Amino acid sequence: MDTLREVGMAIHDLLTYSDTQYSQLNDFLAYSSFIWSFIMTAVLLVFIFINPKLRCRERFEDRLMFWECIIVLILNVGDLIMEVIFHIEQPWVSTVSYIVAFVCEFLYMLAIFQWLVFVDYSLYRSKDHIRRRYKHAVIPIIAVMAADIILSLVLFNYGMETTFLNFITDIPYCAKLVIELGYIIIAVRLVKNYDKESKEPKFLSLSAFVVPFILGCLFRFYDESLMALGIIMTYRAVIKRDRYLDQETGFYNRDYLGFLSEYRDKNELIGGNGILIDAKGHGRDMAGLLNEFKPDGSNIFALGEDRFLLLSESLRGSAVKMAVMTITEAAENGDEPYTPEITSIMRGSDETAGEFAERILKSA
Amino acid sequence: MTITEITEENISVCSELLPAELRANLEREYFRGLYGEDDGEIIAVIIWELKGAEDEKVPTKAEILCFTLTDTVDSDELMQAFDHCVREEGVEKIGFELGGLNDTEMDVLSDYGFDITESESIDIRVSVSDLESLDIIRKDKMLPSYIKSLSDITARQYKAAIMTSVFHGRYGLLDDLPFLPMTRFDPDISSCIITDEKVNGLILVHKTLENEYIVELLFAMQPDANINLLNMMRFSIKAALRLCAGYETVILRRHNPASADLINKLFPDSMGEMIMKGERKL
Repeated sequence: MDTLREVGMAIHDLLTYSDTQYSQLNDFLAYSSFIWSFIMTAVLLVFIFINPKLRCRERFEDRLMFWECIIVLILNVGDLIMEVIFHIEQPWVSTVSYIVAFVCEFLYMLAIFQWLVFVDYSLYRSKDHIRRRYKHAVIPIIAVMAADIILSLVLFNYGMETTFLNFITDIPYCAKLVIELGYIIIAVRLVKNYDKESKEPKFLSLSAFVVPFILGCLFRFYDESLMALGIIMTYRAVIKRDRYLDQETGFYNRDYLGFLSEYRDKNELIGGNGILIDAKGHGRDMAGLLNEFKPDGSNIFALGEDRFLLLSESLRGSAVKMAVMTITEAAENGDEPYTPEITSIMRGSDETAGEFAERILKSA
Repeated sequence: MTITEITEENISVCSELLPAELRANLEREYFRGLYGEDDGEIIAVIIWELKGAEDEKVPTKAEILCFTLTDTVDSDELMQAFDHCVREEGVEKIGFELGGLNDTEMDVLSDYGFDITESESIDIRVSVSDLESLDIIRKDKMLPSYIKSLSDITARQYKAAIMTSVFHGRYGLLDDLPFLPMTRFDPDISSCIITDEKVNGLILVHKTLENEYIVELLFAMQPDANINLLNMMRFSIKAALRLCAGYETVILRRHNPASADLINKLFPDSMGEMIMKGERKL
């Protein structure tokens, strides 16, 4: 029973960053945490450096991820500072370590919030929606941090140590965990709802972030470095998706058509119908028009040589007619008028998505 | 009796027998009509609308919207011509919801094969002042700035929005939605949501020539489709309360289970008027 209690205490100490009763374990945790934070700081810096899109951050998703990396970088640097100043025996150490700890706690929650925003944007790609939905989402973080600071100041100044006060100090800790888990649950629900409606493959993987986060919760000495790992793995979704994007227009490329068809055949989804647009010599103008008129939920492919494909899951004849009329009219009334060649390709009733994609690529 | 198809050129011949809105609708994509003439006198008119003509998932249906006969008419020729027309267009089902049918008209429809029953109309008519009592409008609550009226968006934005709607198979009451001009809809009472400079939700309200308002399209895209729909409804109701007289009528059509649920929830005590309803397969 005593052994069990000792193990339980050691686990509690591990979970709450406290020193365990075992000096060798303490040393191992301190050194390994320092080494991991150091490694992940270096890895994050290299990661930002080798990804030009992340560095230039022209796209919203890159901007989100860049600042996420910066937050996690500061977290890891903060962890390194804490490890170093811990060994300095000066009166200011305790104040500085308190400040660093508060900043890190705040940034840790902010990093999870930023990841949630990234998840939402990856699914719906709407900046306005992000602004509307998350307008007040940081308030819980600020409120908990404020409560934690006030409580710590009270305890620090009056030096009260009672079981009741120890219990009170655990409340902000639990609130932080609830906020962090809350953001993760929101992200999981977002993805679930999206999956219900969408018939498209998504590159985003929640587990890339959630698994390191859970490990971070279990082994809190490594939480910052594990979060860095989670961020790097999450950004792989962007890198993977970029492989299927046409660099000039930002639309999907031919390879994605094959990838999409494979996915739809695998999931027994129907292949959709398409409109082929040939805008010889006016590729850039047409890309602009298609961006303007692109119906939500449909896909546009840049097939090369100023040819585009508009693919939709369900297209009635009148929708096709309207698309043809609208795009033609807009092109003919533009600054440099031209008439694009537009043909509609309807999926055969017994045609698979793969066969349909093949037929489109042959005719394009 | 001579049976003639109603076209833009000859519509004036039978215009006296038709309500103004129906007359205007005859110029639309899926509206068809026949009239019977005897000694220069119009003695029979039948108008119908094709529903689901392009939708692979549902059978094409002809919905009779107007059926008028004089008491003495020999109707066989008219019904044969009608039958020929609908079969030619691949119609599989015919139906009607008509009020005020006389005995002759009832007999003719019955002889044609309709099972006729008296039932409640799918249309609910409420007055503008009835809208004021709805809980959802929350008068004191400000509406988000991204909910706009139709008059606030450009024709291009409108077209892009309609493309989004029809690409998702959302046609509302209008199978010919892609071909209808923006001017069909009341610019101040119809509302939309602007997200990232694009319209991703619309409520389209049409004012009929009989001065009734009818909600013809209600759609919103994800994310937050339900919240956005509710906000658009608030916007349109508030606009109607501001701009219309309290006695003016709003028609809400329960054309599918989702709209029936919504309308019954909003107006649990309202009933559609009793009409004669018939349906038959071809």
